[in-house]
Amino acid sequence: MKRGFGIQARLALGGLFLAAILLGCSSTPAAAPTAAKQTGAASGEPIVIGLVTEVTGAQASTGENQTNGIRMAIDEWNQKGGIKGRPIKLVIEDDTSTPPGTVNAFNKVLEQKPVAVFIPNFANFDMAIEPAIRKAGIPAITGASGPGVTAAGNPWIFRVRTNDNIMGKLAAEYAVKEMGAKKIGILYVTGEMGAGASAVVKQNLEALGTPPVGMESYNPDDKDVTAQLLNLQKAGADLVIGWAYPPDAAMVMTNMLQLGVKMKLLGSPAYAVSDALKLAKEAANGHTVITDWIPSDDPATQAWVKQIEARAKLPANFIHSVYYDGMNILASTIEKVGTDPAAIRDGIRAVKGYKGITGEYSFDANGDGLRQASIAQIKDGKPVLIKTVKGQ
Amino acid sequence: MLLQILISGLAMGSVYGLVALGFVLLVNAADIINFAQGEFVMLGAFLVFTFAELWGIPYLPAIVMVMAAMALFGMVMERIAYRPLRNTNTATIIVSTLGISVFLQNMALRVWGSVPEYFGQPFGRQIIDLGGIRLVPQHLLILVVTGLLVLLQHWFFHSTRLGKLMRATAQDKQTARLLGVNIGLMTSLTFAMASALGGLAGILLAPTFYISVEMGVRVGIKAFVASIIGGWGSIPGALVGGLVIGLVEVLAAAYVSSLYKDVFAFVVLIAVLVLMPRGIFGERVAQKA
Repeated sequence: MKRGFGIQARLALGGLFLAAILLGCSSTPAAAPTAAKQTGAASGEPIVIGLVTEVTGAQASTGENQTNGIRMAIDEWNQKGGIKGRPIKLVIEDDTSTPPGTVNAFNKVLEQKPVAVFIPNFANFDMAIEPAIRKAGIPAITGASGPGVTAAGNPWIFRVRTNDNIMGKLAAEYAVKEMGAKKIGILYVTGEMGAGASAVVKQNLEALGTPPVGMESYNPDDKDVTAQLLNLQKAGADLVIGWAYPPDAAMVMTNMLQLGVKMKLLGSPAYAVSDALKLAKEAANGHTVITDWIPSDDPATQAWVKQIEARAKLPANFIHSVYYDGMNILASTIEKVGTDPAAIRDGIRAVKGYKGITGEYSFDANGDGLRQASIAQIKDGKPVLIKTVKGQ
Repeated sequence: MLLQILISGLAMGSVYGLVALGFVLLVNAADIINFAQGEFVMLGAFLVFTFAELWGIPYLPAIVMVMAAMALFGMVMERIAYRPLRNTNTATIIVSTLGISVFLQNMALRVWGSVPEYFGQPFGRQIIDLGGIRLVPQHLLILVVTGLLVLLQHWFFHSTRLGKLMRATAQDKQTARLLGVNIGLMTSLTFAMASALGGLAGILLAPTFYISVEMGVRVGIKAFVASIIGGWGSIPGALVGGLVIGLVEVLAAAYVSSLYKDVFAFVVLIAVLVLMPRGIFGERVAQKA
């Protein structure tokens, strides 16, 4: 009797885990590209591009945005006949929204012999694989904004977004010069991105002669920042510069509404992402955001917006646009120089003045490609563009 | 400012307490630690969102439907993940509940996707303003419901026949069976209750937490800590432990450092384990012989 139960038990447990694993993995093949089915004449041996992203875990919505942007560009290339007749094949591995998961996923992607990889939109995940990227010697493209990502001097890493060194400076300048803030508080999410950016903001505020009156932080999965907001209010802040991920950006805005604090908010790019706005609803209205990109009224941009929205079933955001641009930059570089990773690396570094949906890309020695910010105000749950500024 | 901070701490604390009640129920009635309790919360939140928001069913019937669905789910889980293992050791069963937790997260990701959802019922974004002190009605509701559930569970386990049968089953299956208790039915009912309770917690948390696949993980851990601080298996202890954690977190964030607030919650846990190993309300004394 006992023995029978033991075997049954092990079988049940094994079955359970198998089911969980199958379910967990099945999202990867289901999400795999359908390059071969496209109408184009691409028929040669596929060019493999890797993507390490969040299929599961707390940041899976960002992973989905990233994947949609990349896949839209790939589908367009494949419909045109691929790169010199060779279709592009995207292989996706799930980083489970954790740094160790990113290391595993990167190793798995390497087994598929990609010519270049897209890596997570999160600085702390990217930094976990920075040495592995160097060792593997293949170009890695990211939209993570944390300064640390390109500060390591890794020649293989390219950033298709504005470095927070620039974004933080622009945010500090806009808060002081254009929003007229006298006493500024900083509220940031812990981790490489939030800590890195808030240090940049602080440094620039000091340079402008208005050092922050308070700096407060919270964890990405916290659900309440009452104490932090009240501390900033007590310190006399008239404006809060917030650096966040999308879900907690919504939480901050909701808390501000609930507490009825009178401080203005200038939020980081995450505050402008549709995920955050959808959750915050009316709590977002009236706040100002600084982000890489807000769709303009330009007809070409609007046509693109329509296409990505049909695909993503979400309002277009900068994560879509920067990865769409990044994939196009990569594909046109491969078209020019071939599939040798070192040649692709030098090719991307030579890209100057490329005009994408997001803006103009020129890669510098550190691998940073974009130097712009769009400032917008949230009205009726949507960011409305105020102005676009260029950074140095 | 202090008052507003205390209110926020009590609000988070009652959330932890509410989830901790689900832990305590399974400890008392089945003698297991259920690591899928946080995922029950997540599932309840997604179900109420589906019924009330997507299908347009009114709030109260939607609650009944969620709790019924969760009770059924609890019974199925008992059949699959507990009953085949009940004569093995505790560690095996804990691993099995971990498996359920992984399974539920991945299933929810497939069904509801990765973008978090907002659910505002029943109070939306209303605020009660008492001369500068602002209260969130949903937080008051959570505190009241948690308090009522403490009384109800305490009464159920100590004053009803069914409750006593369930406790007897947890304490000693063999003897309970010899005395004619249908232990299969008892554990099945226990899982149904724990799952329905987790679902109710999900319904109440949905407006203050956003609904996402991950929402149960963190609150599950905090609730586990709360049930240890309150006293393992103690029903009032679950609420008190939750409130202690909630208050320690928010006070540490306000007066010490927001960067290290979680450290303080776990320092309290360690302090309680060292100084009062039985927790605030004392561990359940009866154990298997």
